[in-house]
Amino acid sequence: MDDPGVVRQAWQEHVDEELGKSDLPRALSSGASCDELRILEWPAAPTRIRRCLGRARADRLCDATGGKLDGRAAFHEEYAEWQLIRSGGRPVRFELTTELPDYWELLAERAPGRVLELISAFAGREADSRSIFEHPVPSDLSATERREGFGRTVLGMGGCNVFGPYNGSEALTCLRHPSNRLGAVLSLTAAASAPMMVGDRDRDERRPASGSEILAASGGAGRGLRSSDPLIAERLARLAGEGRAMRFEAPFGVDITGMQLSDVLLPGGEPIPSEWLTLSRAAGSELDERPRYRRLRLEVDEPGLDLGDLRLRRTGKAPLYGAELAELVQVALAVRVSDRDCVPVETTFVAPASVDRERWCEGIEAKTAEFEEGTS
Amino acid sequence: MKQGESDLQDGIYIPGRKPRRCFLLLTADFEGETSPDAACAALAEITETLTRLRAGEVADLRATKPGDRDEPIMAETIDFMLGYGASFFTRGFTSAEAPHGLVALQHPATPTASIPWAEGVQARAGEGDICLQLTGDREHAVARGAVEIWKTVRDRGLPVDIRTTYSGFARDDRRSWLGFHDGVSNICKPDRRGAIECGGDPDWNRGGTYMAFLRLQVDLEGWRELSRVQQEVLVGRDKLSGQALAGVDIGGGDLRPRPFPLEPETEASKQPAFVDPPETGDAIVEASHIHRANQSRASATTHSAHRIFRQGFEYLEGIEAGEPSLGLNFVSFQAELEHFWQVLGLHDWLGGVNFGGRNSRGFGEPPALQLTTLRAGGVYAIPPRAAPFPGARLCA
Repeated sequence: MDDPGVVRQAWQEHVDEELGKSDLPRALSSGASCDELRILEWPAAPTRIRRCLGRARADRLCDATGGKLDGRAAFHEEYAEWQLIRSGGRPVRFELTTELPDYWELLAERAPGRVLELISAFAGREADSRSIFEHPVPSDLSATERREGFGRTVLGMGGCNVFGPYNGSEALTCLRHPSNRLGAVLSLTAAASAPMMVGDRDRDERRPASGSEILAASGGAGRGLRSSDPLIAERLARLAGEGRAMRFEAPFGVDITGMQLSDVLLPGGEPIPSEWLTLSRAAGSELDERPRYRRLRLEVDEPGLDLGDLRLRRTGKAPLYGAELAELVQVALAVRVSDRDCVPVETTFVAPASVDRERWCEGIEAKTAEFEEGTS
Repeated sequence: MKQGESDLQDGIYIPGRKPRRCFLLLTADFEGETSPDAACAALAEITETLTRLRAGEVADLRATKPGDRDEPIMAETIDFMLGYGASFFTRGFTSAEAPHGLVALQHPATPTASIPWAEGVQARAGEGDICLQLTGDREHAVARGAVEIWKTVRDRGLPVDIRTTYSGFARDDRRSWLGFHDGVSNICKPDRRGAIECGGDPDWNRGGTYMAFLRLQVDLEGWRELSRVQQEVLVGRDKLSGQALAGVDIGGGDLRPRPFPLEPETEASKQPAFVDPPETGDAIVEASHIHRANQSRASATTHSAHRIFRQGFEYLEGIEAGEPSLGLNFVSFQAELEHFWQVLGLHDWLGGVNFGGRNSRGFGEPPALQLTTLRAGGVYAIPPRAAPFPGARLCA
């Protein structure tokens, strides 16, 4: 990532500070050496919404825009958000980001010139500072004023929940769903990074708790039925159960680990060229010799063709909604772990539980009804 | 955990059901101008035949003259399951839309990310408007089921073209043609229903499931040219004991696969690392087949674990001109076909290689081997039990 070193340093300090505010389990606070890499990976399409509403309805709503109601802000909750840009009703470009808003707030505070440079690149033209910082000359503002202005215009904060053009119609800048923030990831991590077992009488055995069981017992950290939260919770709890110390791979963030281009087909049935996929916003360190990207763009580079001419292997049809492409994108948290048995294991026992669909779907239908009224 | 009686059709080995040793998959299409009503009536007839067969009744052995009595055969020798292929939906036999992921396999283009078609395979091999999976303890029992279907179609003039059948068998040594243990690292019984049963999108398949079928031809000759070490690196297990590998040590220019230690008082096949190989942190082991097939190692109820329940059967088509034609009828059941496509499509899972191993191979690691090719394949919706036949709601 070519962001200024001062911002990267401030980001790491900020992450450490936020982690320090939690009552961290031993696994996360131990000083043991952590060298082994573990990649906690999930697909970017929002599973909870699909399972609560049905896939067809969920995918349509995830792409919807209209006035104050925004499918992305309402439903993209897997630490990844996208836009499917259309022209003349046909899909022409797919963009996805995993960049945390908390990082961009720091960038706005400390490197406003870099913010303007990046957003101009995302928008494909020079960005208007007034629509980002609420001022034509951001250097005339204090760091706090820049952060707050950025928060209102780009992140929809301050109660208005209306997003300016540079994180909506003109450009995809960073995550903005309220769940897709640093605090949400860290509180989930703190809740899950302790060994949890289930004494399952039905099976006459003890077994590691599943992701949904951990979230049910976690007191509000994370949401079941998602692709992300149950997986993160379960993997971390299992690692803790092995007595491993853990730390997040720096710089902290959610990475794009790949897209299944083999499932996006040309009209003749062959996979599309990999050159049509652009990955950017590399994090500056690597996972198993692979760069850590946080931004993705898919666009056809062939005259006379656009995304609407392609076919998805899984449907046999052209992509209709962004979620169908997001499903092919894998995003991940990277964790470094120590050897086994480095940290004393103090196991918590939780109750066995099936996935409580009613609990995790609560409120979705009401939000959806409101949304559908607003966009009809 | 799933409570209550399951509505899954027979032939899927959830707790309380007896696994069978013999397998036959029959695929069929409806004739060109068949109406939806006629197609559904045919399904009712076929289901009736198989239900009676399961109860020990064979049409040809019913009494036909005074003094005769019906001659029953042994009951419960087969299980049968009715499935609906992509073409059932695209040809308009139902107004319902095909569920996500229920599509025809690409042909002649590669059907999955890493498994090409075998030479000479025709389009739609392994596909049909419908399929019937027959399982039983004896080969003749499942064969009889297929023949009784044929008789029913002929005798009653049903508008059904039987396309082909694929047979297979379970081995008593829990190994595959590769010589390694296979199917041992599978979803444990208490978790199977949660991983298999469709949650209700679409509603007509609530309590049902989806089946993926791939008839994979194995290049046994090519496999046997590899050393035992190379084979173990690709599979991820010790060849003899079946114990999962904990690491691969490199020394003196050689690779030395290192299995997890075996607990001395416990049978090998009951040891935790055997049944549920843990993540190792060793890049070579993590690229092996058993680890690529289950990268996340999360429980079956965690969506992005992409857990699928495998219930495959080996096959031997024959040995001709000195060449064996054999392999695996890969059969999996899953609550959503998305999981099947993810397992076969993700680059770090099985989408990046034909079988196993690292894409960037180091010294001593086995060469890239196209071990499997596809002789037939298809994905099917398997609706829950219903009267007069599973999937009758599709006809409403």
